[in-house]
Amino acid sequence: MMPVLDVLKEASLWAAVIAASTPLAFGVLGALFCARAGVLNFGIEGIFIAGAFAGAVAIQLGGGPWDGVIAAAAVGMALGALHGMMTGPLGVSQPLAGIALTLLAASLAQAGARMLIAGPPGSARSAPFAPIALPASAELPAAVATLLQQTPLTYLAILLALFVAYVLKRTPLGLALRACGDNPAAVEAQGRSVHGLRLGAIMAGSAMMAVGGAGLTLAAANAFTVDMVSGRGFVCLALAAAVGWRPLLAVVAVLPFGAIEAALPHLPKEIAGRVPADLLLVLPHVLAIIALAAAGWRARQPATLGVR
Amino acid sequence: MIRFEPRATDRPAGRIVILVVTAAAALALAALVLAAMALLVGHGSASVHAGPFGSRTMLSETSTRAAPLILTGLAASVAFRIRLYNFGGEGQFLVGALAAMAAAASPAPPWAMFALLLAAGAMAGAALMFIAAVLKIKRGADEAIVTLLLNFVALLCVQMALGGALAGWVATAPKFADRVGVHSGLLVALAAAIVIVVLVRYTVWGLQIRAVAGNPETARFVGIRVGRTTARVGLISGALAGLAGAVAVASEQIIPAQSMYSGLGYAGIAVAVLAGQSVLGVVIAGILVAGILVGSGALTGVGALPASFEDIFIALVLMLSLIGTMHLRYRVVFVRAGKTAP
Repeated sequence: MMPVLDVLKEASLWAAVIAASTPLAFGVLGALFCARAGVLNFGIEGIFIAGAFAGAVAIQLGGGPWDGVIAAAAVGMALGALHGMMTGPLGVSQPLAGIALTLLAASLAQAGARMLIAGPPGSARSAPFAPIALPASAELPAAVATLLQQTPLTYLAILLALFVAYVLKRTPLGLALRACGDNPAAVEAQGRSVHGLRLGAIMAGSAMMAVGGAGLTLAAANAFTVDMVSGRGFVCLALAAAVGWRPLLAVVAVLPFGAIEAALPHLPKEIAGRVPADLLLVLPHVLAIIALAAAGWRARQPATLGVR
Repeated sequence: MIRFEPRATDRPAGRIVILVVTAAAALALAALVLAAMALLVGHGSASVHAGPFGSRTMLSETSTRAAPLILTGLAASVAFRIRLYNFGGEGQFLVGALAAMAAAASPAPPWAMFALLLAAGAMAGAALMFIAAVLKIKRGADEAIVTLLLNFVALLCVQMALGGALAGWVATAPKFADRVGVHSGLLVALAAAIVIVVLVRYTVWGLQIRAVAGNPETARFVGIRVGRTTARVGLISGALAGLAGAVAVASEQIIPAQSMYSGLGYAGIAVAVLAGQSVLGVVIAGILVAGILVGSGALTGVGALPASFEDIFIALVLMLSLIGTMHLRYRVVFVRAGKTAP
């Protein structure tokens, strides 16, 4: 037990936890941004995969990590627009539209991956995001300095969380979006288009989700396999629901899941000699289910969420 | 400007036409997409996985592939009726397949083996769905998300079981297709369809299901236990998907392997949406989709298409069906800007 406790004191472990939580943070932010406007975006898994794929393709074509982020965001917006068109003017049920989007994006990404991405998985064309060295780090205690050595993407996630929280709470646009979720009739009565506002929210949220997906490929070995997302999108959706679609709470809530991901490579092959460590791969999904069950009926706001 | 006006009456006759047209459109679009991608990249089509075609005719191959599709389609369709979004067909299919493999490895006389397979599959699938149903009824957890998450749990657990502790079964799994006949899977699917129709139309449970499907609050007001009905539908839905897994094992569509992704659960959702509300529609849609998958495989001259093509096709079927369903319910009205509608 002692070695485990010692490991917990390592700042580098916590730094790794924060880094691993970054893609999930983008995911939950995107999910809740759509949800506050009244749309449960089940396309999140497919958008994650598409974002990861777009990031990998951008790298493959010789671009840098930020090109991957931009490519992913663009792909996310396009997919979000598709979802918005289906669920808005066309009135398709939200869960079904989302699943259709997920299936389509996943299958296209898989086909594309077979055609486009050449070379063995480990061959990195360009360096992934490098951690930023903060200027004042020499004066900080070593542990804090290690902790703050995060990639630009992580800092972007933190800024985005603050920005989303601010927009939703303090701006007229945020109020309009939340009204779309809580009381669309009131929005219509004001003469604004619920469909239009929701479309914007879905596109923005989907862009965030896609960047999360890109974070998976860009932070790792720039390789893309279809299996790499493995349900993270739905985990983010469940998590965002469980915390009541609150941005700051959601971003904190992803940390345990990032911890699981950070810890997995370091665990022995078998725990206590019998249980294969791979079993822990299901831990995020199980935890997400438990979180959703624990939140219970409270996870159903806003009022018109997922109206079918 | 386009406006959608609700039609006065539904158009049931149009349903079959929409079904066929949608499937055909999805096929054309999928082929187009793959061709475009191949063209873009500059080399030939994606790597092809040669599948076992063997000496089976196209008809028997179609019926073999249709059976699990019909069953997963029924699973999704039955649940969707009461707005229970069972997206967990994939996971239920897999645990059903695993249970069937377990049953196949057990010592039992051959004639009982088939029934045992099916029962094991159905129970495993029902059990998995039951988790999601209970969480929904007792805690209000969104079953759409829970079933999706359970899919991944099931996939990982089944793969691990087969790769690790139960790897020995790979060798001892008996061959079934010869013993029970290639068409038995389809018979099981059709029997299940008939059972569902009888259940929904002629039994008390069916009445309760139809009531909850219409309006849950009214049903509750009349005294129907909505939670209990929901649980029942969930169990039936999961059992059907698990049965699909058992049938797939029996007809050798699924063999114990390290990677167990089949996509048949999600294909069932596509089949259910394509079919609309009717059980007959699901049967027709299942056979149609299976036929297209087999037929296009034969056209390109290989045993099976690259898995991506099938997945893209299924995804497009779902997407186009969702959009196409609108046509049945709404009329498209073109309104000139500045003028009021006629």
